[in-house]
Amino acid sequence: MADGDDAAVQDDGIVHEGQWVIVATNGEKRLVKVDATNRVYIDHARLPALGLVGVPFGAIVTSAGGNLAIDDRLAEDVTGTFAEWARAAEASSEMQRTNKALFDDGTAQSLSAAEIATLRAQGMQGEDLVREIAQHSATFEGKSTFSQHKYLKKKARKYTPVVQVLRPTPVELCETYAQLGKLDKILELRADSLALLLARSNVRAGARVLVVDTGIGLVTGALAQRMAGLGSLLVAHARPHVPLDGVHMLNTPPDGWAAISAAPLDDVRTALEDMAASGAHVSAPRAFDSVAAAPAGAAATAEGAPAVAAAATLVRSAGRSFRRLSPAETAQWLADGCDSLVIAMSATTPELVRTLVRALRPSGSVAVYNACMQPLAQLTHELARDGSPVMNAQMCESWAREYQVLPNRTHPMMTNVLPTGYVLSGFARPRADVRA
Amino acid sequence: MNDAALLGRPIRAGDLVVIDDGDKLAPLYVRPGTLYNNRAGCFRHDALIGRPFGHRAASVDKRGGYVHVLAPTPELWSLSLSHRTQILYAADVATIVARLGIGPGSRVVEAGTGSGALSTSLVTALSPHGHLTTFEFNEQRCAYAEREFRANGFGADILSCHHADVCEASFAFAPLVAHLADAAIFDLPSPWLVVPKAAAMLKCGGRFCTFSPCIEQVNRTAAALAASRFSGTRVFEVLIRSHDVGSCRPTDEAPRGASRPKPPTSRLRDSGSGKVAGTAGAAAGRKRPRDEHGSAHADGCAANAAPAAAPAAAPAAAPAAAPAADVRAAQQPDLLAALRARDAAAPAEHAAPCVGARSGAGSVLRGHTGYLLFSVWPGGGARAGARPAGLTAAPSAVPMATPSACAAAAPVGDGGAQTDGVENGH
Repeated sequence: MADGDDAAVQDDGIVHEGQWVIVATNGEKRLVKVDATNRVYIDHARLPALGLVGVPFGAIVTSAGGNLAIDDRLAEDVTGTFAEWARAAEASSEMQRTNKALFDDGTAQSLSAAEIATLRAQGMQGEDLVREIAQHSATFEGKSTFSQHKYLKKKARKYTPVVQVLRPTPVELCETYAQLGKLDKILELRADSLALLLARSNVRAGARVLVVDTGIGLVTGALAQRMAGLGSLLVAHARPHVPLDGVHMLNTPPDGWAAISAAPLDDVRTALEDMAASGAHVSAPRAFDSVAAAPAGAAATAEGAPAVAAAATLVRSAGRSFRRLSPAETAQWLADGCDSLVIAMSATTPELVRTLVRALRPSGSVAVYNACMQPLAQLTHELARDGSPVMNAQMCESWAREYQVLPNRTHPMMTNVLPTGYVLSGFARPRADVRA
Repeated sequence: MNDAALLGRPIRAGDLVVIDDGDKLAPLYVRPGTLYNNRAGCFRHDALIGRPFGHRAASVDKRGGYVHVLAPTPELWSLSLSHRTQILYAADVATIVARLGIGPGSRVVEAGTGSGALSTSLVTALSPHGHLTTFEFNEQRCAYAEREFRANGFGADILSCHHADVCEASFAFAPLVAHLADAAIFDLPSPWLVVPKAAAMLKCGGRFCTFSPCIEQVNRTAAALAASRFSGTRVFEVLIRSHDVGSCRPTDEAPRGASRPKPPTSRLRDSGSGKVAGTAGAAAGRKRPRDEHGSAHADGCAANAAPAAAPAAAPAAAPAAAPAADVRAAQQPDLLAALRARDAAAPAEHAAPCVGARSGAGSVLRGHTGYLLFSVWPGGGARAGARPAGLTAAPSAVPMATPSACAAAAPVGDGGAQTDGVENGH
């Protein structure tokens, strides 16, 4: 993906050319870049993605005569509310009608597919069409109220799919990749695990953050979003390619990009190992480090002058591009220290983490994610030792499930995304207190 | 706490720090000339000044204890503050911030404030440009929370506190909430009562969230949201499972004292990790034993007692026993018997410990905190046909966003002239 050029626009709640959108059909999410080469599928029609330009995020879209149009209703209204059934189900505790006499041989529906297609061609749609289909079902009457309501909504989704244009957020991207069966791209991060990782990283606007993300850069993008261009985010990339697709997919505006710089992971390791060898470390309490992003109200102090100069060389407010740091600049960045270290790698070694932790300022937060328990357990075990570079090392797992909430029918969803992932977190011990 | 560059400098007079004595966390404002006492000992505030955050401070009395002086984070603060109310837990807080998309610049409304734990996470996330307006119906708690927010560096520019019952029929957000909100969070006994008012206060695409311990509350709130034309309601339950990490052995014949931690003999140093990060409460009771040598500076943790002890135990047993075992193994043609003999001779060497993790051992798992409900206010009165074209939902309240197109930064109230229904008239 090219760094820069297209759609360097501020976010105004409307889809612009060059941006990414999530097109959710009945909740099934697909990620699309809005440009001349891509198409979106809406109710079996293949439409140019550029038709999405100008559509507000969250809008329901339909295909009308080969064009994309905005449907000005709520998703719930497009599907149909089937009000009588909703009311009956709310009042009902009915258990008389059951599937006892149900004989399922595929003959219950007397309307053929062709007949239904004809009805649709005549303009019958939504709730009307579904009611017609239900009337031609021999078994519909025998179903319980709950079952009827479920049947109606299921048919409505089939014949009147709701297509919603969603803004890509870290949470939406996690859900999209899970639905696409491409969790490996995002290190199998589940939305709740990502939320926990972000919370434990304590990344905020104005922070200095070192991140290693060997996925597509979703964690990096989420961190950049939390910083909103304030502070400095150094991406240590393990391979020659800097994985920043996640930053693009989140439609990060130019000022969000301004905080991002990148350096090869090897350079970072070398610089930190050199620091270790020379006995230098970031923990020497220094002057107030006023990055361009120091929050309002924070009092700058006179002794902060040298640090300001060092930070200023990193700030670049060009378009959607990041700054590549030379080995010398990388060493300088690391010598200034960082407030948070976030590691989301498919394979994490204790040696690497021990090295990277040296970049943290005292009491800075470290958060390490891994899809597998064992590498993190090993690491936690090592870091929990007396005098280790990380205090309060703790391994956690996020447990989450979604619920269906309907009157008289509330229960956990039948399926859930399986990988939970594990998050190790802790705080950097000042080097003076670290015992080898 | 509201200082992103806090860690780049030493501790100063007036700073908030979090004292970790290994078992409990306590907030401390550094005041020169003052002493801080806890069960680990007695500490001079002056001795903290000029030292880095996170440093290990030694007691000045004979007890020889020490504490870690951590920099405050929202989570550490929530674990150390004096609880006036039940607070939200880390997993719930993390999910709320992520699903509501709260970031720098977000305008957020919260009720009730309670002990201010969630408020602190919210206001940290939306700093330095956004604004949190938080409501608490208990006057004393409201005043207490506001004092703490101000002491922690959250000024009136990013956080306003109000004493009000948002569920009361006569209450209106309008004059107090200056702009349409990106997100609103309600941790109230009857959140369904506030739904219509929230619709009037949220911007187009604004996010609504409730935290309720009971599913009946969720059902009533979901029904109220549907009636008020909110869209896309989803409900989650999120918990954190803490994992204890320690050595485990292939056999049960572990050397005594090596594979399982000893019960704590000292109350000076207990496990800090359980208290700090085990926010689901699962590991909160974990104790840190004295280290194997009984040193007063013991910082050994349950998880690492074994590796420290195992190598020590192995050389002691192995050099004497192993040669004998080798001799016997050589004499016996049966390999299995040889292995058995070697096992018997040097179990510590043969059955090398491996690291294993188990979920929150030895303590009760917090199995439920509450249900998180999320919904979207589609804006424009949310009535089909009643809105001009283009004013449809924009679900994500996104950081870095200028106000969404349909809300166009409309102020909710101008001198109190607005009413509850203002946005419905769009």
